[in-house]
Amino acid sequence: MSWRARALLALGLLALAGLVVLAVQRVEKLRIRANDLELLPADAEVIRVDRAVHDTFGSDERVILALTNARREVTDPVFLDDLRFFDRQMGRSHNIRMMLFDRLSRARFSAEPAAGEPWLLHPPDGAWIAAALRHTEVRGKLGAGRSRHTAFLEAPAFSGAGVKDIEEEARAAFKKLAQRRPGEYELRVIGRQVVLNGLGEALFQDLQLLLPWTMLIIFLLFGWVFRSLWMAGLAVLQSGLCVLFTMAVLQMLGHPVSITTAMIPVLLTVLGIADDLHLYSEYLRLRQQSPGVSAFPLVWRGVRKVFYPCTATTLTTVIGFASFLPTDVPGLCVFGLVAGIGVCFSWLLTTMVVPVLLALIPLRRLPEWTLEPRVALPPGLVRGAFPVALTLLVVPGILRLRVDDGWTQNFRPDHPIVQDVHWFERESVGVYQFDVMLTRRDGRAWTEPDLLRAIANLQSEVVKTPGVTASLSLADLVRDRAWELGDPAAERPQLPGSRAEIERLLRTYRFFNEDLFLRMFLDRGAGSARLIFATSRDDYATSTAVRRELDESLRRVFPPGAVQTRIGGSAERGRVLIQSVTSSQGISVLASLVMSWLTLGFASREWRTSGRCILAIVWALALVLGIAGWAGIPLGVASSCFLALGVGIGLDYGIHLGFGHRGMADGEGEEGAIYLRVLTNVFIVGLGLSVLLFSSNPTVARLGLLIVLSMAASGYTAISAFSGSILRDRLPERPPRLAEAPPDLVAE
Amino acid sequence: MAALFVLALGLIAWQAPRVKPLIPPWYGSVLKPGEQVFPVAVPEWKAPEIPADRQARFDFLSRYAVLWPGDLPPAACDLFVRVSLQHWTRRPLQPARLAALREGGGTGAVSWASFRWTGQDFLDDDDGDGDPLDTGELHAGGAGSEAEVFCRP
Repeated sequence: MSWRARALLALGLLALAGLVVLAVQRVEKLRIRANDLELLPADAEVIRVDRAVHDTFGSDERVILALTNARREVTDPVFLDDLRFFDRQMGRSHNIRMMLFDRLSRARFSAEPAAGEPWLLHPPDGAWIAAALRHTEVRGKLGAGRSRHTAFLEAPAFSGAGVKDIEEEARAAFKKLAQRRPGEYELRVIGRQVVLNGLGEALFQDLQLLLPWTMLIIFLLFGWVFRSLWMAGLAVLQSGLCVLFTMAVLQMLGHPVSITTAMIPVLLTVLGIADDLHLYSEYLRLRQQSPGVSAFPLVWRGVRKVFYPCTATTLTTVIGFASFLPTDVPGLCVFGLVAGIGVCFSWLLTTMVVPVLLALIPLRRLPEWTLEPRVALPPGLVRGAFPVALTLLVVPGILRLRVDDGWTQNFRPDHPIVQDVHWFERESVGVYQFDVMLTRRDGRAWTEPDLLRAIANLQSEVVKTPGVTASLSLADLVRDRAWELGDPAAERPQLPGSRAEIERLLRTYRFFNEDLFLRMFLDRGAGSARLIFATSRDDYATSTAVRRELDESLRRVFPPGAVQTRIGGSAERGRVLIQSVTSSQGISVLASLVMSWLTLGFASREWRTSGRCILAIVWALALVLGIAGWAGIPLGVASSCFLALGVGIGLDYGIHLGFGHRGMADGEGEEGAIYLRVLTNVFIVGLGLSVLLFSSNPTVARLGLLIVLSMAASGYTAISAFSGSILRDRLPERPPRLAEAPPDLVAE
Repeated sequence: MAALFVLALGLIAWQAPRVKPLIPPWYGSVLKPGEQVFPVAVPEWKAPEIPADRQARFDFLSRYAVLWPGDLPPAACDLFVRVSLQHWTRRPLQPARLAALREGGGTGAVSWASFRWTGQDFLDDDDGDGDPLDTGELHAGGAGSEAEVFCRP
């Protein structure tokens, strides 16, 4: 190597080191945030409704602190005293003190004067609370659990970080309570934001676990295949750099690590080595053929040989990822963009950095397979009746496919967050809810008795729906307050018959400093009212069934005309996002198939070969969908992503088989080498991505399984579609070993 | 192929800054000043220390009072009724109306006066005008909730 080449090499490596330092600084600033809004289309109706609910009734996102005593009921004076102690401990934090709701033991109105307390509201005793739990809805459902052994406190969930702070304060307050009453209480912190925070933490832990394992698997596989630890190390270095630069770009663009982008590092680690595999194989094959030629010219010859198929596969992978961009789902857009950038980084590293370092690697002994780089498969496996029978058996499974997902499905069933959420669904109203916003178009007020009764009718009808655990409405606020102001021994009063009485009762919410509660259900002009229906589970099937019933009930109770009805809330968001993500996948897969076909056809002018590549991948995806259907694997937010990923990655095999011979002068015998490379690629990429199966997130594990299956299926269909010399009956004679270097290679 | 790849790189570079980070909606309140004081929902924190000085007391009560429901025009006097251990409700009062509300009727101008308003009077609406505070319900003493009137000269 000349001194000029050495100097250039040193400068290049220095520049690379500088880039690495800059990238590390960026990656250190990366935030992790899980948010359901990122998976909803920006123009989704539910987002508009939620915004309207937010603007009309204010934020009501809450975090629930549930204090349980297995021995005492909440009406026990000791429990009440302990609850107040816990309240006061929580109240040491100024911000929490200002916004903490204790619906259970909050002061009650008493018409009779209380000694030494010259005001209207006084602390309730256990007997009154017991009566209130029986006769009121809000206190009965939100103040205490169904078992009456749990008291609930509520704090607003402004943000993920805020909820984290509240959780820490609650744990500290609980520690003090536990010192006061050892072993008696249990604390649970529950809320949608708690689930999302937990998901963020789980994503990070997953990343910390899966990424090193992926790297290790790649290192071992490369070391085994190429019989060189240096080459294995170089592959891991390339993947690591690719991930590092990509995550730095993610941070530079202002995006956090989210539900969708969390899987990018593992994907890129594996995808990054696919091109290396082809380059290494070709380089070793050339070294075997031309032992007298120095490394650098051989490497560059190898680069030239794999340049066309590797660039084509990178391009189609980028198209596969970029096809997420038109979906209008922010999370998928960011995923597609950043994964696409990562694949480009990988290509740049493979064509610019890896060859230089590869040429520097000392090779004492070449692997055996470089002598005869081909593979033999039984022809019956990829030709004739077997593929047809396999397709006919597997593909009908598509008809059994179902869509199902939910936030809690992102955790293992025994995860504490899942346990707490399911416990809360049994004990109280649950974490997920439908918000029904009713706006009058006729100028009348919801405080008119017949209109308020209509709300109560709707509520009583919908609450009978299986899956609906609880409901709250303006009618509850009116009837609760009527009971609270009256005789505790009396039954819960019916709705008042006059508007004046209804409004008198509602005015007390202001007097009692509870306007916040009233405004959650009635706007200032009384023209818009809100109902809340809690659902027993957050899964797609439950939400869809409840939504259907809700629509029918709304049509029955409020015929079109006088009332505009809109539905939002966390349960509706979950339902819509699962629906939109799975349908977005269909659009993006179709778009990427068409784009890939056009790109390949345009660049190669071989439209039929390009079409065969596309047909092979469609066939592969149909097989995997069929397997998923037969195996009962549901499609959800994460798992449906395998379709677009399958196109992006799986198409590579067809391209290598269909276009791998381009630019080859050696001709005969190289087809076997390509088949071998493709099979090795399927094996290594499949095994690398199988790490996802060990994710603590079951939906990511399902995605991993589907990706691995689609890798295997696309390898199989590509070989079947391009079956040539790979078949045992068509194997060519062993290629003669070249004794001399080709004329375009210059010996050092 | 290389040209197409460069084109793809260009498209990605063009698209990257256009994919904006998602900003979750921040907390929103529909309450106006005076409709809610904090802490909310009358928890059992310790009782506040109310200043004795007249102006300081007025300022203190103003901070801890929710506005009386309804659009009441500003007036020369302000009535503060203690609703709980730590919050009051405030309503503007014309001196003439104050005189009518006082038990036994008014006797001249006041700058500050203390009354009692009973829970029973809070519940009823004698004249059916939707306002729970009715004629003669501000008692000079006895049981009931603390009520204080501050009048500007």
